[in-house]
Amino acid sequence: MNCWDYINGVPQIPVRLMGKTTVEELGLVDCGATYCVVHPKIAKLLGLKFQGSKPLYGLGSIKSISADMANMEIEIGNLRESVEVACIREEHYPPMAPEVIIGRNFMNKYAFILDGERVCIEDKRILKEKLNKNI
Amino acid sequence: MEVWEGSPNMEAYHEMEEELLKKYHGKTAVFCNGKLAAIDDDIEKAVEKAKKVYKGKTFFIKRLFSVKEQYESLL
Repeated sequence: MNCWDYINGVPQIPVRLMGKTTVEELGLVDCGATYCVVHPKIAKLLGLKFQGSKPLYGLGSIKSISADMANMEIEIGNLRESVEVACIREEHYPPMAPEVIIGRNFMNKYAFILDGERVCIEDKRILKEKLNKNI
Repeated sequence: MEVWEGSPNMEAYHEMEEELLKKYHGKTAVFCNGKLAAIDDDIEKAVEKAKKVYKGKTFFIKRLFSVKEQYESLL
């Protein structure tokens, strides 16, 4: 199981974004986000190839904002997944917002545990086995 | 486990975080090979500078805002 302590009460985890450059970032774990989100300048550095756009809600906006979508490999601890990421255009990206948000399209592949102090990520099957043993 | 453990770049940032936030608030810091490689107002320029200094292909990119500032900006 991979576990990391919250930073100042915020569930952040170390992520590696795999592209033409490998970028390390602190990603915000956000179960309110449908997709993982990457800052547009980071997306450019990674050389992401966009495959269309989608209207999304979030990042403090009350209106839908258009996001360019791309597939990208994200590594967290010893887990690596290819997921669709949303790149919010810079004019809509809050200037101080985190560069990377880990949304449900990554989270739902694993068992994420947020207990107010730590974020833990476990294989779903292994967690089920552990829970069944304890019942 | 602390989030920076296991990453020399993030460990280096953690050691310098207070100083960097004070001196370079709002800019972007780039770390490579466990060292501060560049600081610039712009993410792309900061990485370009870092690539000139270090041959590594892995960069930790941190815009210099506090955790509080970053997460309050979403609410």
